Amino acid sequence: MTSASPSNLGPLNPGNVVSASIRLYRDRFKMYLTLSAKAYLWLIVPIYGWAKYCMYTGLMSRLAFQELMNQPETPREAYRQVSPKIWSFLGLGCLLLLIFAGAYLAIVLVSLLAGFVVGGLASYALTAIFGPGGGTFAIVATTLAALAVILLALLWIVGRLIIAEVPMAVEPQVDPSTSIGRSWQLSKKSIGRIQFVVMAAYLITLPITILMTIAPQIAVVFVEPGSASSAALNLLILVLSLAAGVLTLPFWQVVKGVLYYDLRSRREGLDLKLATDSVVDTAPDTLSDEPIQ
Amino acid sequence: MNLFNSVRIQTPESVELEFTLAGIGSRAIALVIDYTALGVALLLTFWLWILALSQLNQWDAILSVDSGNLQLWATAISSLLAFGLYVGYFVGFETAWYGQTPGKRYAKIRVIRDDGQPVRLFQATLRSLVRPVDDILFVGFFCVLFNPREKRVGDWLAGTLVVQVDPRTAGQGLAVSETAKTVGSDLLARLNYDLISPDDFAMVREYLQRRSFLTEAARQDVSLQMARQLKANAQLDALPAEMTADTFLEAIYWSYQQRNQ
Repeated sequence: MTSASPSNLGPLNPGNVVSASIRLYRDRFKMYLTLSAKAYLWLIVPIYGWAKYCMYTGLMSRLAFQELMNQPETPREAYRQVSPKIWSFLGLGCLLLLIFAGAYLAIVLVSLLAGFVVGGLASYALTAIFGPGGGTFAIVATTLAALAVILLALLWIVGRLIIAEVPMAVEPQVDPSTSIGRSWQLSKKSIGRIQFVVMAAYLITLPITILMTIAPQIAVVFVEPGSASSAALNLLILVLSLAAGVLTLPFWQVVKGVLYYDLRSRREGLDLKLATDSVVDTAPDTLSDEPIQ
Repeated sequence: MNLFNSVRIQTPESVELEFTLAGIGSRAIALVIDYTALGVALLLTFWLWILALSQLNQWDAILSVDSGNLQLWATAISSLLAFGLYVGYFVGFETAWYGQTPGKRYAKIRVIRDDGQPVRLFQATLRSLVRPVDDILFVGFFCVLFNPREKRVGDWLAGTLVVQVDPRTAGQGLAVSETAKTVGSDLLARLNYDLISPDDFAMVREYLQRRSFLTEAARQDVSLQMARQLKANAQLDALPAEMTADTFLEAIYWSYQQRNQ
């Protein structure tokens, strides 16, 4: 038996991607939290620190993936693997930022224009049939539909690129554009399932987000502005929202690592290996290398 | 490594059943789907009510009935409909579909009783009635997250568990080409099947089930690797004819099935 025994977990359904991520994060809570805190601290330092931040996020996903592969690494070992690529991580981060910004602008612009045209026509038609009630309904419905389209399009693009940094953190010799290409290719047939993963993961971070960031914001209403207690409250809000970020960042990174494992199992048969994976048959045989079908 | 919680249930007949618990992720997905469906249905009811109110106003003269009276009826009917939807959605589906709702069906999970039996009207109603309590301040979320049996308050009261539906299928309907069948019948005579472990056969089946999802390159790599190893394990010196790795794997799978029938 080789030490690199293949994992037999295989593809996971969306819910199990999220449940498995929760389990991995909880089992190594201190380790991930320390890494996340380091990542956040580095954000204070411009450029070099940001590169470090990007590298640490990739490192967390790598740790989760390696654990699923039954080849767990310590953070130190993983660090040794990813630290030479630190500037590539920053490049990848910038590239993603540009892609997302461009996509966001395009999507919002197109939906706004389409919304005006469709909404105008529909409200005109429905007013003629049902009276003013119909027109109002048409406008409300189109606005909701346009918002839904914007949201879905954004989710789609995020879904296709969600694991963009993981190939670079895991695979040797991958540059930023290749890593993005890998994410695009791996997510090709799974976009619907990825949406559900993102949705479920978001839903699970929601209690933390609400309790730690939104609830304190409400308290602001009850405090006299400009007073000492108001300043203290603002400080508390800052600390709490940072803490919420530190707490949720590893979860998202672990989700990405698990998703990467799931997609590679699905698309590349990562787990499809025989248990007796030791014999290497080098003799020429009659099995052809020809493309199948 | 155990990524998912599981429970063992002893039935009165002393049969031990093991279930994998649903997990917070699948339950979240089921909840999103069900609440979306329910929300759309409620919105539709609301819209119909508004429409009815505005329309009834104009029918006053035609029907020669007091429109205020009719509007009251419309309001009463739509309130009843909304209430029925809200309460009935979960109770109805969970009772009729043996513990599943549309969301749970997508997420491949199911509600069962603590003793492994399907839920009935009583349990489904209790779970549904306590649902608002579980939703307030994420009580249910934290219960599922930190409880080893993943029970929310409604599950405690109703004595229910939410478990995964076993996804493994027996591999029916796997397409095996005619060529592979010919090769397979030949292999039946020549291959020593004891040299290949049942796990390896299962892996071949798994590959054949999932090959259409694989990228072309991965498919070639995986099938060739598998075929070479099987050939070596079975101490086959030569194959009857030149063939693709896929055909060989299909032949192995098909002949193994034939042999066990």
